Amino acid sequence: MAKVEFDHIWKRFPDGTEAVKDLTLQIDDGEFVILVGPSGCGKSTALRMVAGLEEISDGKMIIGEQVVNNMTPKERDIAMVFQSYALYPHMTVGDNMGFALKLAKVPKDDIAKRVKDAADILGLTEYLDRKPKALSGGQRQRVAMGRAIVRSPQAFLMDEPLSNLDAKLRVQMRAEIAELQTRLGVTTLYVTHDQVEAMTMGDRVAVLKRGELMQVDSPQQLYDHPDNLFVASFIGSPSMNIAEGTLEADDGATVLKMGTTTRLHVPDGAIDQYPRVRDYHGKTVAVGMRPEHFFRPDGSVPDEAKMPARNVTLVEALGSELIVHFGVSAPPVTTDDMREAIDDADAFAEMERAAKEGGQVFTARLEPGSPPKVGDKIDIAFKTENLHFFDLENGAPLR
Amino acid sequence: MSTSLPTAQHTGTRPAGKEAERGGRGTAPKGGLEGRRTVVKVVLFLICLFWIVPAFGLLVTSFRPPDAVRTSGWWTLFVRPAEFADMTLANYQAVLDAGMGNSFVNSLVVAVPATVIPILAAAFAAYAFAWMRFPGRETLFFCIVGLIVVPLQASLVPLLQIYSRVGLTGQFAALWLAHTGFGMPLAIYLLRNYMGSLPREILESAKVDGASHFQVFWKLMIPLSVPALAAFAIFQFLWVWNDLLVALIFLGSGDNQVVTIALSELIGSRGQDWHLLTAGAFISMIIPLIVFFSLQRYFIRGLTAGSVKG
Repeated sequence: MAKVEFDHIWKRFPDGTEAVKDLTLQIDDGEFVILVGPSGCGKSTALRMVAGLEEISDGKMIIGEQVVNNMTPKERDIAMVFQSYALYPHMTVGDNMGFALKLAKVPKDDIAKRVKDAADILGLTEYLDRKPKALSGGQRQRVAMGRAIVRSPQAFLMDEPLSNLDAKLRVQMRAEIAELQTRLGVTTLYVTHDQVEAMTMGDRVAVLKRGELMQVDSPQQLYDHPDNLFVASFIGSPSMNIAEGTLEADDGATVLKMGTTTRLHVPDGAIDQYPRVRDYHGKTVAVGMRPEHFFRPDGSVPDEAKMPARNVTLVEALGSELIVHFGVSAPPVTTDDMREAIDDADAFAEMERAAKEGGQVFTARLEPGSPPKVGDKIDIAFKTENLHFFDLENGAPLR
Repeated sequence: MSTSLPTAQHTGTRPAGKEAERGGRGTAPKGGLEGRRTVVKVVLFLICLFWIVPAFGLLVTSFRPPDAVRTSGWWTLFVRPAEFADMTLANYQAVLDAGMGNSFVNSLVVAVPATVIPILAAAFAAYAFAWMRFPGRETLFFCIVGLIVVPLQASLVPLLQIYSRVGLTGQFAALWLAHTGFGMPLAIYLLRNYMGSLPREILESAKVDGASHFQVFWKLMIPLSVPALAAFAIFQFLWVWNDLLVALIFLGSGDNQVVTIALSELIGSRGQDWHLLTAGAFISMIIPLIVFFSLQRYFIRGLTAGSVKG
């Protein structure tokens, strides 16, 4: 086991595209780090550079204490789990798992023992003589894990290992992999585009955008204190509502105006988080509002935390919670950060269209019970100490 | 034998398609499909009949005495069943006495290496073309594919000159080399396409597992390419076994003569010795039939190479 370190790593493809730009990231010994980002952000390329399947254009890749830039995958002593599992179809499960050891000329008895131990851990013992063809998706996934485990490598690399599984199995395997990683204590780098995997599995999450590292932090830190508009918008599901708003000073207090009708009082708690808000009086900023910080006001809620009655456009009653989509007049932010974070050309085009009409749809996660109907007008309020503020131009937080 | 299968399907489906169109909207899709199947079956049956009747005639003739062969057709056996009593193995005995057995062994000695060598060499080349990066890869591959269209007759004279200079004429090695050369372009092309269609992640996984190119080739590529290898093996073996031209030029007649040459001599030297020719032809067909039937399941899979991934 060893640390893995990206030291100003670049990847330039022959056609000139830069898939990874100046990536510096250290994964400590035994740490579980998730690489996450929209499609095409370079996360898989970064992982493949650790494995030695992709050449490094510039910078130093360090595994343990060694610079591995010019080493073959074999010399790097890492194990990789692929999205498609990449099992060898003509070999039995046992042979699949023992293949690397066989190549390394480990004695036969030793191979058999290590394969058996790994199979016990993964519950594969009774399938050792089967071919991958005769296994279910979850079992194949386990074999792929087993192939990595038996080697006791310096590090595990996982490239979206759960994306071929159905939803229920994914939940189970997510927990199993996280538990296994803790138990074995192997340094692990895990690539995913799945929000939930990113938030629940790793010790730290590294968020990439177009080959650049935007932020690396514990999941909760990322969620609560995003370093920029991209991370704010990308992390979280449903994602953060982001709109343009204008900050104004009003009798010593700060007031946020959004769209034509909303005036929210910015409390001291929010200003403590984003002190530069005071410098932005009279300016338009990007305002972030997490869906779970909306609530349906009762009589005790002061007006400065309320938004005027809103038109409900969609209701998703999930039992434990209620997701309500409602129209607001505040224009959406359509900067590059947002385009990348949304990661869907159609959805972004739709947002731009809405922006021209001067509005957008917000998502609120409310307490279940008495769900409104589509077309209803509902009162809605916001826990204003949880407001997020970003510079509209460069997406930097107003910290 | 090898070309009749696709042709049959082709001619079979076309009239069936027309019929389905004519069937109009009233016929259920299932009925149309069944009608189409019937047409395919009938056409296939007819084609089989066209192939089998002459072969059967050959078989019957090979057991008839020379006089009967000269005076009447094989079908008379069924008109005058009394002739059954005259059936004889003498033709086979005569052919074997004339050295057919030796030719048979020679043919094997020629055909087995002339199949194994090009497949092995082509598999190495195909792997490199499919999975290794080296300068000039595309150009080289293009040249090799281009070689497929060069008729082998064009190379016979220069090859013969080279062979006689190095003293290879009349040796089995001359045929091995020649057939290897003639077979390789197509083999490389087919195998590269097949290997290229195998999932890249399997190779990458093997590399991460610590396999060298050589290990990837032997432990993954070869076992995973068995359908394509077997399909090509059948093509190449049958081609070499049935080849007369190349064998005649580089090996000629004599102790090293192969079955096809022995057969042609049976006609040439005996003029009207039909009965011997039929027996000889049957002996020469045994091996191709064995090869085809033992490998045919790979053969059919190999033709659909790439459509089903490992």
